[in-house]
Amino acid sequence: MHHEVKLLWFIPVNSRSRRRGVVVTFYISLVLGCVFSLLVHFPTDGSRLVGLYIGMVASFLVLGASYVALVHLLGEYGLVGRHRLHTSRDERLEQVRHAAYVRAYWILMTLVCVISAIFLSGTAEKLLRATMGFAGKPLVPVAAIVLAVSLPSVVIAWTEPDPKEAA
Amino acid sequence: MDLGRSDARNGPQLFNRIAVLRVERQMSRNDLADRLDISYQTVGYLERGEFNPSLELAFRISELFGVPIEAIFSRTPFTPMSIHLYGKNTEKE
Repeated sequence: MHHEVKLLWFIPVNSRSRRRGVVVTFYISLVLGCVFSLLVHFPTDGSRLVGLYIGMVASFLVLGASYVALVHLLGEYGLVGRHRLHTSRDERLEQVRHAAYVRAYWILMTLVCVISAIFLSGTAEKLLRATMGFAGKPLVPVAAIVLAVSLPSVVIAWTEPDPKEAA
Repeated sequence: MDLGRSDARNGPQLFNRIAVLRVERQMSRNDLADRLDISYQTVGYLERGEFNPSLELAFRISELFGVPIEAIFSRTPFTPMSIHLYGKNTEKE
């Protein structure tokens, strides 16, 4: 059974504050990655463009690294990796995972309702008209998928107490 | 907010003697967790009565300690072992 995640086999890393730090890094890098990706499509001079590309690549690298860190920290919850679904005999972890899926579902449903309301109010129509033919548009569904896929892990990482506190 | 704690969905609180039985057998939480194939945090939740086990897990615990389920779990608080062994608590009298 998985006990405690340690860096270099002796530094404990699985605390709530560290998990929350990884979550914040994950979302900041997601937003920055999207912003840089959108900005590179605007006409700009060469040196600025190089900077934007470096920022974009760096943001996505940090995004990937923080997601790997998140999955590693939550390994025992069986969301991804070696502790896959329905392989754990720990029913509390299964209960936590189920609650996280339900909570993530409600968060996403709320987001969909808010976005729908914005579209219905006509605010988004102006934005869509302004970005018509904009090359960075495919990034929006990709970012939405990343958000949806990562949300159950994020809910657990944010809400679960420190392992020592829980023990 | 803690997703794993006992709440209305997890049913009313069950009282248990897991901690006493574990200590009697000189087992650490890690040992017990390994023997039951659960995480050591879950052992903590069980001992504090913050998580109600399923019947299957309750049977595993019962088999591990070699005592009947009703000796480990109860819907009412257990009386201390000392009172069981030596009768009424005389301190209050």
